[in-house]
Amino acid sequence: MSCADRKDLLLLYAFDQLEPEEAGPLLAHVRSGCPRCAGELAAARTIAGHVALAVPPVSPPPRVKAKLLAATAARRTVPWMPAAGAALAAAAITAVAILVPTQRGVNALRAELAAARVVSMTGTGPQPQAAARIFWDEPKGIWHVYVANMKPSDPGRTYQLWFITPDQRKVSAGTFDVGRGGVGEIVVVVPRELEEIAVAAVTEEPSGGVPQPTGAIQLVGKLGT
Amino acid sequence: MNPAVSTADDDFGLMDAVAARDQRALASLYDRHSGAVFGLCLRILREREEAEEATCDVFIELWNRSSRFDRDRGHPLAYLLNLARSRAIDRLRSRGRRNRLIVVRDEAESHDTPSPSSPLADTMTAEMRSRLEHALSGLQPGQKRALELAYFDGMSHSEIATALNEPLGTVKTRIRQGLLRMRETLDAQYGEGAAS
Repeated sequence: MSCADRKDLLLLYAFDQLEPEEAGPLLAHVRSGCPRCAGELAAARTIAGHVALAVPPVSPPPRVKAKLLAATAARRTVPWMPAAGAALAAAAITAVAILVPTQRGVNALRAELAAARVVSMTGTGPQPQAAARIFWDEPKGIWHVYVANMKPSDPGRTYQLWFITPDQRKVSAGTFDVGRGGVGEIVVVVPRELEEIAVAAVTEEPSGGVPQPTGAIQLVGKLGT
Repeated sequence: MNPAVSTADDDFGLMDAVAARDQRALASLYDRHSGAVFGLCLRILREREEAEEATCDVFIELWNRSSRFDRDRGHPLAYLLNLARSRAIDRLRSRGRRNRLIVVRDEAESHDTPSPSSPLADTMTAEMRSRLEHALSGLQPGQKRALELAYFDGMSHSEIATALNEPLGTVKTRIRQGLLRMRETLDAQYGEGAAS
């Protein structure tokens, strides 16, 4: 198949209109470094995104922005720096042996997370060395999740966090990647309609995430009592 | 002139700043594009509270994964809207409300006001919207309907065939030809390849 032939397929792919068996080889070709097809894919994605402009814009209520800023404020004000875990020993958040803030950061974070519920996640079969902590700000409905000792996901793959309800319904909480040191973080807004979350789990999935988990569980933590 | 490029120039700078953990840049991107994102989420989900959550999730994901944005892969606004569509459809699929949503379509937006933004962003976005509407108006009704169900309702080809009571092959052909026709029209407006 020539790159000219791939142009139409890339458009269909950008609109999620290709079957996986068609999309796989196409993406492999793009990732092999073909500049022409990479450009065509970018153009197709731009068209796909701009089709959404056919919908009239609607102002979200101010509370959405307030929630966004609250969820992202911690990383703006806390001066994180990578280091070993010893400096956290005196802090209330000793369990987070992932990233160590400066003393000012420790104090700010301690105050911020003092009321947060902390849930531990442990590595499973594929990654027994991995660990994570969920800081659950229940009044705001926000999770701050910090992971450590995870292997970087394979090319074309990502990690995906899941809310799992007592009746085993699995709802995506978002995707994330880890850096070279195996650490990562993700901020998650807990959906209001999830009255109870029994388990949090992380799986490895295709880039962009999937509606329902398909990969093996890498991390798991129990939230229910 | 390609208005998409002009609009996106500022957005690229904001995306760089977000990657550098500048929350003010995130707020600026939100102010510029939350109306488009929320409108899209509302169109797909048809529930205001859930659309609010999806909108917040999109911008949080932008913050969490800003370093993954690749300027060679398209414009920031397109990136945001593709992300919004993907996350909204994930929610839709996870809740299995597709059939009900088809029945109640097109009633959510009518009582809402447009999101405030900057005059430049408003002008450029309006220009893009105008060109897009022109491209969509060139589609046959069957092509447009099949594309809408695929794009806004996240339906598979077989689900669309069932919903429209048409053969699967017809649905596939309509979607393919509709997309190609739309691209052809946009290319003619922007010049070949300028949509990127």
